[in-house]
Amino acid sequence: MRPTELERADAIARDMAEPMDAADLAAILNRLDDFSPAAPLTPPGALIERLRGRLPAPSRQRFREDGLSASPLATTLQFMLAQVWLFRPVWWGATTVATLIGLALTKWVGATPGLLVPPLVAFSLAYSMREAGTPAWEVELSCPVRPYQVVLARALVVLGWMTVLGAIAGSILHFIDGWQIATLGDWLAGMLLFAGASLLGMVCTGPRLGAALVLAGWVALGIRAISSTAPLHLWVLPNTTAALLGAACLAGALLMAPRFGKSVHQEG
Amino acid sequence: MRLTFAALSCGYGRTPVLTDLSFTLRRGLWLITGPNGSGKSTLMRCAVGLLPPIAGRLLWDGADAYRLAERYRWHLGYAPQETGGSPDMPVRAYLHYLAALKGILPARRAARVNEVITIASLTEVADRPVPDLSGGLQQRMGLAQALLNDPDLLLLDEPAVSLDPEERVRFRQLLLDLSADRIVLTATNLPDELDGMASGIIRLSSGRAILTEA
Repeated sequence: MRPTELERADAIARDMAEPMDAADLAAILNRLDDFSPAAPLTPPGALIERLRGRLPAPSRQRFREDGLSASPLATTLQFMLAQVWLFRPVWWGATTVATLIGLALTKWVGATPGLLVPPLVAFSLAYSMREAGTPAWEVELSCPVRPYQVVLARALVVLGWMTVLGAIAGSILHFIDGWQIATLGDWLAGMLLFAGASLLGMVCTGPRLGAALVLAGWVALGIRAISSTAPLHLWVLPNTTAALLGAACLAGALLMAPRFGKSVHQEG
Repeated sequence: MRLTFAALSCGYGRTPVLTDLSFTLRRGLWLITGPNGSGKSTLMRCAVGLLPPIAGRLLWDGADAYRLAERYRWHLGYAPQETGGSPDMPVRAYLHYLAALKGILPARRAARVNEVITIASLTEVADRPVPDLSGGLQQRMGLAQALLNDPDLLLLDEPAVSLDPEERVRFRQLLLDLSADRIVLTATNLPDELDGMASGIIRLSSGRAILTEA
């Protein structure tokens, strides 16, 4: 049996207690080599891995350090595109069906299809701001967007879709009755006028009251138009003037958009 | 990161609900306490920037937060006390929408939405419409959306009021973890639940605030 390290150390100690010459001393030093530490068999990489767990943990990387867009322009574009998601299928379907039914009705009474625009625009803008005054609205306004961006983005979705519906209505009438595409002018002028009035009303008085005021105006104009003997055109203004007035109202609504939060708190 | 209320008075219109608020919050968990109607939610809305100051200033790292506007809101996450008004869309879709509003990169959005759904224990209801959720689940969704952008300033208004006891325990731990590297300001009328964990308590009374730091 091989002697243990302790037994070998004891033996060296005993030998060193005896008188010795240089040769004895050299022999003892050679035996001491047995006690020098052996190189570890573990590869250095594995050793580092084992020790890593004993090191202090590095600070956790925050998601926001590389997960957020740093460009205000990119953020704004993302925000604008995201607004489309807020318009649920029921809105796309309801406005399409309302346009087709309304088209049949206006053709029946011989009115301009532009007659359909005010209720469609007022309903759509009120729908687009339907969460105004609720906690969900506060959550949206706590995001890095400005109130005018919210108003503008949603108005653009509504105006874009209303333009598409107007083009569809105009095309249908063109193929059925040979109506001039120029009838689209009635549609677009009414759209801008009532969208501007709706938005301005909503910004000043809150979304529900604003939409209600515009609808009341539409009903009043409708009664006036029906009771007159003139052809059933709704607008009291030429198309160009109506469009310019609507654009001015839209611009005013965007400028006054910071008031929107206030009107929402009053209404909510 | 530092949020300073500098002699701030705020309220609705020109009528102040809270006057002369003066304190500074740094990284940690801060509680706002006070009886019902003492202005806890008003203070939250002021901190978010929804209500402009009537007097004084709100400073984020020394800059006027109201002037910083969206650059300030880029840092914050906010969950209001009440839920409701959310569009009729599934939880996951709504979180995607809010992720876009918060400027989360499109490539990172899906993963981050899944992450906050897991944190808020919403996995089982992720595809249900938000308005169909119970009060407790809607509150968890409020927390999830507030965490989307991993905010530096997390503002939670009565966040645990509808949670069940088990969720409350988990929620306490979550708040503690979150407050390690950000400012978490939470309004509560149950301060005992969070006492001992907080860096300080802001007590509201008669339109004034007293901050007691731990």
